[in-house]
Amino acid sequence: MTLRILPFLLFLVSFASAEIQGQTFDDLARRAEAALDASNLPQAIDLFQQALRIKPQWSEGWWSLGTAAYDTDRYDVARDALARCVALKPDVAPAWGLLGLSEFQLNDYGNALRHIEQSLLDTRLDVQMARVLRFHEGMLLAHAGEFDRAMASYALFAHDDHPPAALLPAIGITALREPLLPDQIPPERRELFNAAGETVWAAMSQDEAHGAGAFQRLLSRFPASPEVHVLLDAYLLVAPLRAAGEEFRRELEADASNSSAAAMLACLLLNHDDADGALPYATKAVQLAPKLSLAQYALGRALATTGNLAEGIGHLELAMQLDPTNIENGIALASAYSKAGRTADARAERDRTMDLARRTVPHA
Amino acid sequence: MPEPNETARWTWLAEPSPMHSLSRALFAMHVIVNLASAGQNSAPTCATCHEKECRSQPKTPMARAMWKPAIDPAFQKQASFTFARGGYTWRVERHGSDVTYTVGDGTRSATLPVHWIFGDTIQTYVLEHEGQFYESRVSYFSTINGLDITPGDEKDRLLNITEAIGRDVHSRELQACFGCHSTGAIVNGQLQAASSTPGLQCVHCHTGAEQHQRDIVQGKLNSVPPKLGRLATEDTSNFCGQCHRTWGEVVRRRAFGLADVRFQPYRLAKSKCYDGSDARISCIACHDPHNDIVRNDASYEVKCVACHGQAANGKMAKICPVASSGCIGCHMPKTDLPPTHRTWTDHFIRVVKPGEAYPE
Repeated sequence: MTLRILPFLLFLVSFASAEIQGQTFDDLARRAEAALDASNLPQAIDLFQQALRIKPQWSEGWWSLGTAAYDTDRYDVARDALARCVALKPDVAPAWGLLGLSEFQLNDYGNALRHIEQSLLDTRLDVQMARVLRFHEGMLLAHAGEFDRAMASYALFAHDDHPPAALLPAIGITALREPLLPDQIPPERRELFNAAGETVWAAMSQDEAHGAGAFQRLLSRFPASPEVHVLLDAYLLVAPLRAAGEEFRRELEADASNSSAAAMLACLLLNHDDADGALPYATKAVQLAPKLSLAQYALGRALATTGNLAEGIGHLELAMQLDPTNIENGIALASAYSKAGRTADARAERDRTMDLARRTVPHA
Repeated sequence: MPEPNETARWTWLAEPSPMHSLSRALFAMHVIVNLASAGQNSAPTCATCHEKECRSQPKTPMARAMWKPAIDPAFQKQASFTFARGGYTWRVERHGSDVTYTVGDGTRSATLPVHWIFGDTIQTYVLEHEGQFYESRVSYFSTINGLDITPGDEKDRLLNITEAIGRDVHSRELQACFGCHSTGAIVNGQLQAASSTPGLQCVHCHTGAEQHQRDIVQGKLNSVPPKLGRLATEDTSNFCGQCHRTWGEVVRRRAFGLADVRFQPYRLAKSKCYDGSDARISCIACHDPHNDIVRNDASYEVKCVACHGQAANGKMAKICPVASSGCIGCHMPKTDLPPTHRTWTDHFIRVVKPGEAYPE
């Protein structure tokens, strides 16, 4: 019975479609555009959907439906519409971008990144859209553990007078190498991520001396934070000797009890092979703040390099006790043990540090 | 008792002793006589006094770590090389004294001049376009006398012709590249690529050698560069590792995997026999940086038995129960690193178990 009436039903449906197509598509499209212009987005969505059922090859219609749905937070509708749009017109970069943004909202992060990157290949993108896409690209890359590429995405914002508020925690995530999205930051750590983001943004957007000052202030604010120490280690490995050194000296002149400036200056000099120059600053840093692992680390390295190996090892061991999760402490201690001929200790420290390295993410 | 060679002479000069002043005066006279006889009254070179080292050093891989296109040996034998993969084609060719690097995707192509060629047996081109530097996506490999994907880039998905040209190199990485492959590239912390000299020359390692050259003419010996041969083994590893990668650098970057076989100081530090206070396991115990690499493995065995054949300094290592020769082949296995089209000697000295996975 059912099988016998099916051809008839199909005939009716196709006839009805042809009727609608012939009589109402133009009208539906016109009314949909008008609703869009009037910012009546729910009505526009409904009308675009009706029109597109009649003429599914209408790529502009899919684009308009996608934007209207995105603007009303109907991300699943937006995603499906924009996917149809790019299937019909693969060279429409904004559609790829909005598709990626919709997928981002739907927690489909892999596709979101892929489609946002596809969109950003087009250099003709509107500046504002490119900024939004770069920001999301940065968040997605950091979430995927691609921190260096994420930081490159954020470089676009380095010349802003005032960074968007949402940018700072996002940069903070990248700086502290934790594969999170901003809304996944635990509330008790939000201040730390914001401060790290603010520091790195200052370093990116201002001159090198101001950048050095920002890092020093971060250490003063969070002296016991292992995450901050790891970030500082990475910074000090690349910090320019002259500009950063002058900034740290200025900080010390302004406040002779600034232990973080003394410790950072010592580390900076050590990283530029000036252990003799580092020694007095490292000594001072330890006198001022014996519980600051960066200070103990700097003094340990300075002593070990300038010939006082045994005493240097003592300070490096102290640094390790204060901050056992810091790769740099392990690297320096293993090397000092090795130089002292303490091969078993060196090997044990290397194994421990290597194990730690495998479990954590590198700073480039 | 050390041989009265160059090293011993320098050691003797730098150590305070009752004979110190006299020896300095005599040596200064010796230098001045040398300079005069060489007809170089005002401009001595390193070779004026260190002739032997200066004669052999240019043949080392370090001295050949970078080439200018006009004299690159690869292009002396063949004028152009081509390669194709993934819809892209690359062509590197010499035009007189210039070399160009061209990438095409079938419809479009881009050509850039090659200013710097990094490496000797594996050569990667550093390209500059509108102030941005790129590491070429393909490199030349002398073992196949041809081009292939640059090691490290094998898995990269090339989305467009710009990416096919090469990988963006940021300023810090670029400084590291020039810093290890050329001399005089970094001035006051800034890259001066145009004025750098390809390859490693004396002053690259011997900091202060230029001042020493100026002073020695006047008989001043106060600015003699630090004696690198006197560094502790651990410090030597860290010194050589500035380019060959220290243990710390590899761990810091988590650069683990088969490709880390290229990082000799890192591999050596993993060895059970590595002792940062024992000169017998230092980089320079086996390798003379002023001479070309010795490719005959057997010649290194004497270094192994320095520990594994006799008691020295009260330390006696195990004697091999299996063989009395062929140490290197068994304990420092040649490791094939496919993207480089060559094998590398693994400096992680160990008892290699049959079928074992590569220990990263």
